[in-house]
Amino acid sequence: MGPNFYILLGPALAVAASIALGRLVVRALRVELHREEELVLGFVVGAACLSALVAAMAAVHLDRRGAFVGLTAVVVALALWRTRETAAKRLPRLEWRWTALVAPVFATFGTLYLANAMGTKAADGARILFLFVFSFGRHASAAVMHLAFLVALAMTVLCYGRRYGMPGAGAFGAIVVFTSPVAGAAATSALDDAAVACAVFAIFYLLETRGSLALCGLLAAFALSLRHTLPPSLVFRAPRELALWGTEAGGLLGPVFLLAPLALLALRDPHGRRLVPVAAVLMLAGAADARWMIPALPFLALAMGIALARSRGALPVLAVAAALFSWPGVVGVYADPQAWRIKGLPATPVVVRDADMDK
Amino acid sequence: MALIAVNVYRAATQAITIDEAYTYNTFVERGVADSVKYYDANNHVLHTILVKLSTAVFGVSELTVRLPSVLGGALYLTAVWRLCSYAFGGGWMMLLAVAMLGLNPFVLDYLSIARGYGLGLAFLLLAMDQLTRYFGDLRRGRLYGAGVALGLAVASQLVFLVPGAGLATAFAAIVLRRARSRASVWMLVDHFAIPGIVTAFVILVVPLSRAIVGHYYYGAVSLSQAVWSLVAASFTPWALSVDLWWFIAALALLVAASGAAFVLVLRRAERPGGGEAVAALAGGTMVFSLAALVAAHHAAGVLYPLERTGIYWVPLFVLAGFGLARRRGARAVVAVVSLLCVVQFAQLFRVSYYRPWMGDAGVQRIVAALRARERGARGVRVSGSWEFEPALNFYRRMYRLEWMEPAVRGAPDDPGDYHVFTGPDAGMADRLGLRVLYRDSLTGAVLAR
Repeated sequence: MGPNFYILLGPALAVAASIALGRLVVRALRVELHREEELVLGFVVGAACLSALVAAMAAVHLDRRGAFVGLTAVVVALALWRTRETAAKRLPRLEWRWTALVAPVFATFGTLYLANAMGTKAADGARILFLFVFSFGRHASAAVMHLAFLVALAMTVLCYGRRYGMPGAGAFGAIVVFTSPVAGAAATSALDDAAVACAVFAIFYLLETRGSLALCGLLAAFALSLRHTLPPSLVFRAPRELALWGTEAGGLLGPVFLLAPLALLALRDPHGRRLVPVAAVLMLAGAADARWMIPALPFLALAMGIALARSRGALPVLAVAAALFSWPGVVGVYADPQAWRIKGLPATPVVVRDADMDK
Repeated sequence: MALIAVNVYRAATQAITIDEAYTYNTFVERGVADSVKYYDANNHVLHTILVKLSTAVFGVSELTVRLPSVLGGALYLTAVWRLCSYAFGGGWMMLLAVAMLGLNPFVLDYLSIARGYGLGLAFLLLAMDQLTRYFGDLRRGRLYGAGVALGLAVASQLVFLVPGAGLATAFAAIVLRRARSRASVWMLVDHFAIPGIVTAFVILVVPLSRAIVGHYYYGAVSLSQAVWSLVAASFTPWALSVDLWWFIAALALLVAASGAAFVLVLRRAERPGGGEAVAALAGGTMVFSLAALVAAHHAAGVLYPLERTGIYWVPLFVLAGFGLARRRGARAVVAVVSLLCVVQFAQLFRVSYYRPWMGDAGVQRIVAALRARERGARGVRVSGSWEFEPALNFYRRMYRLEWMEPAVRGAPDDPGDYHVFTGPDAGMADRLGLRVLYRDSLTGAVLAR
């Protein structure tokens, strides 16, 4: 088996185990979710559970590849058996024009991100959960696992829009979040920003759906385990620095976020009235650094989507612009050369030696 | 149609000017990335993008570089015709208004020269047409069209941000004064403001990512200088014989009267009719624009419009004047003044040069004289007046003059195989002991060796 197989195998098993665990927990707590929500929210909930299980296994020195494969096989089998007869309802279908926009953007940026994540050579976050995948493909596997959280985050934003009858806002939010240069750079590194953002947004989602408070608590604990420190200072970067340049802000959000003030127009909508305050609090907390702003992005993007949804053509135009302006070659045109971002496809393939795997 | 034909003729035959050539060399010819990294107020973004498209499809020539502007000119004249026929009926008032808006030599220059002003003017007038008609039929689509048009105007040239915002504010004030519910506010936001903001944002955000206030160095230091530049651009040399204060008084009176018309429309319950709507919108736009310019000048040191950067005032003055003239006496006054202006415009009508860049009009013939003398030899260096550097480089690329080294800006007496001097610098040829090979009869520019 080639090294890339192991790099992908670890995250694939971890994602499968997370989804399976999540479905089991969601069904056990009788939380009513749609099929797509069960998948993406289940993944986040399951990741929290898996994180706890991995910690327990590490405590008894069972943190080995074979044990993780066994664990995955058991939980997946259990989930398939427990949920075999009761299929949840589907969310309303996404209009074809939005599907035609979301699918290529996700495919293109997904490929770019995956290639970069597989090229990662250093890890710095996502704590205990990475132990699972690290045993298969080291840092690169951890980065791919972290990327799965960004995908889940974007999908959750998409589900939110579909569930509440604003598919355009959801699709726009998903594209803007997924293509944001700092989100891409963070997600393809073995950090924890995308995972934190995903957990925070999942908590909000579950509260909105009057879901289980137990699940919210579980996710809050998970988020806390990932990031237990607050941003250290109340430094506010200029909007152009945060959105366009990324010279001192440690990355850039993307030009479309310069229109963030328009999100205030979402206050006329009941969902907007809940999204905007959360976005504002998270933005104030993270305004010193683009990475710290990542948890605010789904709230902000959805609020912008709601605000602009009534204006014909505005959302598709901005979504396409967001994707175009976030492509590495285009980012290089306006961002600081030193800004933290993905600069293209990795030049050299990653080689993970078997000797490294066994360590 | 005749004016459109004139614009096409001028675009195809007139020599490239320094600003056009500089814009082409700096922003059009280079790759997108390079042209974005180096920002300058000369980059009229939407216009630059269209010139890139035009030259990519049709090749490089004076006409293809000016094609977006010529199309903008056609759009402007169409918008003027539509707006005037709706607001002033189909009679002689309409024809006079069209003549005032279409024949002004200052405006006419920008309907074919490769700058963003003509395009911006066209979109501004298009927006005004849509908003004026909205008062008649209340069609929501007009709001959307006007919003997008204003966004495109700003994207064509940033100076249109001022009248664009002024027009939007004046229109919103009139609509909201009659609004019976909050839905009207949201309708304006969703169908007018957001389309405009998104349109301008998507086009401008990356090119303007490095723009700073210091880039906008061209402007007037006082309002009187601004007014004089507009008057001189439209009426020189006649304007030189009249005291500037007469113009200032007349224009101030016009702004005050149309501002009063705007206030009257605001206070009335009925929707304004065509001419009245135009006067109110032009008046409101002028009042808000003036307030914004004065505030920006005093608060941030932003310069006042100077000549071309204040070009939007011309249609605003004209439309306000015609819109206010609804009684017979006022119509007579407007008719007499307009006829005098049109006669003056006819006297100033030229198709051989652009007035602000008259000195550049001979560069095409100078390059032709140079090409007739040099065939295939390599490494020919042309020096001389710096004003010709952009145009020489433009023609070097256009004619693929591989034998000519890229022109560089230097002193007129820098060494070279050939020297090209502007009319005022022409004496340099004698001082340097050079032989004059060609002297342009229109501009006095010379090619010497």
